[in-house]
Amino acid sequence: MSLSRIFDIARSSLAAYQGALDVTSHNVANAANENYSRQRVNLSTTNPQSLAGLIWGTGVKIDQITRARNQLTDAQIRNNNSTYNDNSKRSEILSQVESLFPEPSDMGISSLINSFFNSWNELAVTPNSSTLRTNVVQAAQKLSSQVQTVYQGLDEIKGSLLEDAKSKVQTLNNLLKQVQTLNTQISASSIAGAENNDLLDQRDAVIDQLSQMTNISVSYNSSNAAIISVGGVFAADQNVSVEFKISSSNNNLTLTTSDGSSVANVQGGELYAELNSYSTTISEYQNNLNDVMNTLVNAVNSVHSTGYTNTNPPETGINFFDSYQNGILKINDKILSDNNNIAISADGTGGNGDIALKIADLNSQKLLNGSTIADNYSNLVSNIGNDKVSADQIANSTQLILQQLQDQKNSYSGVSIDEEMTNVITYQRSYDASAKLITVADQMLQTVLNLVQ
Amino acid sequence: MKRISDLSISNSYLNNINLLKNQLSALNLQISTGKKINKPSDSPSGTSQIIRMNNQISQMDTFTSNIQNGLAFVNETSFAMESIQSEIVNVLTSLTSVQNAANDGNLSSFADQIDLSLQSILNFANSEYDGKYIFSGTDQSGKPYGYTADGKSIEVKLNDVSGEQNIRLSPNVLQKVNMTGQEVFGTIVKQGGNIDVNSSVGDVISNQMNIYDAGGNQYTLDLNYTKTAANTYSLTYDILDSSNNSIYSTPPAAKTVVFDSATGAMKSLDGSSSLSFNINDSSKKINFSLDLGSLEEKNSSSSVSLSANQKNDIFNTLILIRDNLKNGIKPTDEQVQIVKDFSARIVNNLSANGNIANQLNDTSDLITNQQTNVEALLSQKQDVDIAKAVTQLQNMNYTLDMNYKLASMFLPQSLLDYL
Repeated sequence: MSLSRIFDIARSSLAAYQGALDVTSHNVANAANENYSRQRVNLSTTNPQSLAGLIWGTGVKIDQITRARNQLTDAQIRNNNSTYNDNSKRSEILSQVESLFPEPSDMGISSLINSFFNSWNELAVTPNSSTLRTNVVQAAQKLSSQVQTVYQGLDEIKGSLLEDAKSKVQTLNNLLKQVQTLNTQISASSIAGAENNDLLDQRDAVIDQLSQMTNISVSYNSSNAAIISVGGVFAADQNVSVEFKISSSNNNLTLTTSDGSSVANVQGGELYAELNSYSTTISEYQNNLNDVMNTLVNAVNSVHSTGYTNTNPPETGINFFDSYQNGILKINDKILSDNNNIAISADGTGGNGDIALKIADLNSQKLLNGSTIADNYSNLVSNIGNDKVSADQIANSTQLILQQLQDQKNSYSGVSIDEEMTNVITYQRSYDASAKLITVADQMLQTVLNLVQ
Repeated sequence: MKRISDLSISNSYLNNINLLKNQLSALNLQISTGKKINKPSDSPSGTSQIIRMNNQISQMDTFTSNIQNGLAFVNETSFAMESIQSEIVNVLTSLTSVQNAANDGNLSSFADQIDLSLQSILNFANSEYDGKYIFSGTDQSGKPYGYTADGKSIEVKLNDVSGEQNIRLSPNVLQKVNMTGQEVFGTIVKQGGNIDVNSSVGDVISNQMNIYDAGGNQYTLDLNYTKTAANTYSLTYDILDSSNNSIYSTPPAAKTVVFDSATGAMKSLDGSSSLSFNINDSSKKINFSLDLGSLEEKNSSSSVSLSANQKNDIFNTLILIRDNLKNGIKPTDEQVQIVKDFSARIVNNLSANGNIANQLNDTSDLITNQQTNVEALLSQKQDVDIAKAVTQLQNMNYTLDMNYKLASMFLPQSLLDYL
């Protein structure tokens, strides 16, 4: 057994602890990187030697650099990411919708509907009053303007949702491309026999981002490539990444492959919130508003057309509203040009306001779905509020779950400076000791050499 | 033992701070607006209730405003009728005085006094309020009463002065607020009695009475009910002069009368629930309302009768008295009775008008009470308990301060500080 073995053992030790310190410094450098998984150096003994009937250790080596990652937690985070981002985005969209309905306040449609019917009630007291007739027209104009603002506001939200969804699909396609590229690089690394921990972290981060956008499923093949499917449609592996697009048909948005051959069953993530809000939620609000306004227009017109105008000679058969379609409420031009064409007399005399009373009565009649017009509108507002509350509650509860899961992930994969500094001290002491060993071996060798002199 | 990474600590700290800030922001909004519910999602059901209560309050405001307008109109009507009554009292005093033989030489001056009262009554009959003629019913196209072209008599200048002006006092209550010209000055012929429900189709029930034109000339009103189906009759009418000739060149259109098969009460007249109609012939100066509301269909022999509230209207009676006095002729007992009847009628109408005013005032009080209750409920639903909210805000601020303090003490620390 030669003295040089001590040098060999000390040298391998120096190399191993330098490497360990290298990994520790990498951990410390990434302590604030959310996508980073702490890495660990697995040290093991080098192969022993048999000499003089004894087995001699030959030192230490870095066996493996592993990353601390729990795939079960990852899968749970991705599932909850999808639910959280769906409801969080939905809440954001509904906040915008809610702001279009300034309820409860004097500026809301409910107040304007009520003012409109009240103006008829007031007109009935003095049917030939030009001022009160003008009040009726103005109340109708205010209602018309507010309904148009709300309806167009909903259209604008839908328009921005469509643009946002299109932009998200571009991001989705880019992320899928990144997954494919990273898959290829990771597969290549795996073939060389080493895990590329940083590439794995990068790929996990990209997959996490995908899970925020839509519902995905992830599996891994023998080359450690992640196989991604989006809404049940294959999307990426190490060889290809599929491109998606937004398709629109009959006011309905879907996520399809770019050639249109497959339709993804989108059920989660921000993309789902946007597609569903566009195709279903906001469209239903618009339909409900249309129902309310169509009922109001038809009811008012059917009564108004039986009345007589305040003109000479009195005319009958005149509608108060010209039309209502998709948020555009038009008042009869004849009435706009001369309010004497408001037909509120039941017998053609100027002082009769019976028709105005009948129109005012419509406010308390159950004309739609067994409720009054105002109650139907109030239900619509209440539904918007409930949808927002429901989205907020699910988002909040999922956020709590996500926080716990992130906490678990951080507990397992996150960097602790205390821990790393402890390791630094440990590895540094080992490194110091190894260096001291070389000094000792050198002194031993010097002693032997002095013997020769 | 669970590992605690640096990210865990900072994320947990940030989440807690964020939660507190969200709560602070919500509380801050509530305090600054003074309302618990600022948007539908603050309380969807609460929003619905607030919308409903706001609508109720706004509707009650309208009803209150209607009542105030109605009351003003009713008060003006009372003022006009009281003024008319005052003139009628003067007329009756003069009529009493002319009976005194000592005044036989002054009949002409009494005629002048009566003429002055007549002009005043005519002016009050044409009173206006808020651009509306008080006694013209719903026809506002001109003054309801005026002299005929020959200036010898006063006639109704409009087609119909019997229209009722209604205002809404609550979602279910309509209130008539005007005294129609027909009620105050007009002649109302009332159809009473019953028609035998067992009469056969084609049976005719006839009914006649004397009526008078503005000049006091007598005519005969002839009514015939011909059964056309169960509970249904065709009503034809005619007015015959002293020679028994119809005043109409073509007979007036028949009207359809329908009785309720269950109660026997009249259900509709020409499809309308209004059970009276106006008969007006301006050339003959005949104008009266035929009120069929009391006619019934019963399981007993037909028995019908007609009655009128006056033989002649007050204007033309006063004209006749005035002209006679000028010619030295004292008024007849019948003429004096017409004036007395009119006086009694005005008193009755004043009473009816007073009842309308009482009804309006009572309803106004009721609405004010209801409004106070709804406003209290609304306040309970939407207003913030400021003292409570401010206390909560202070508490949260304190917690936030504590979080900041703790974060500043512990977040920057690690083993590095001790190496």
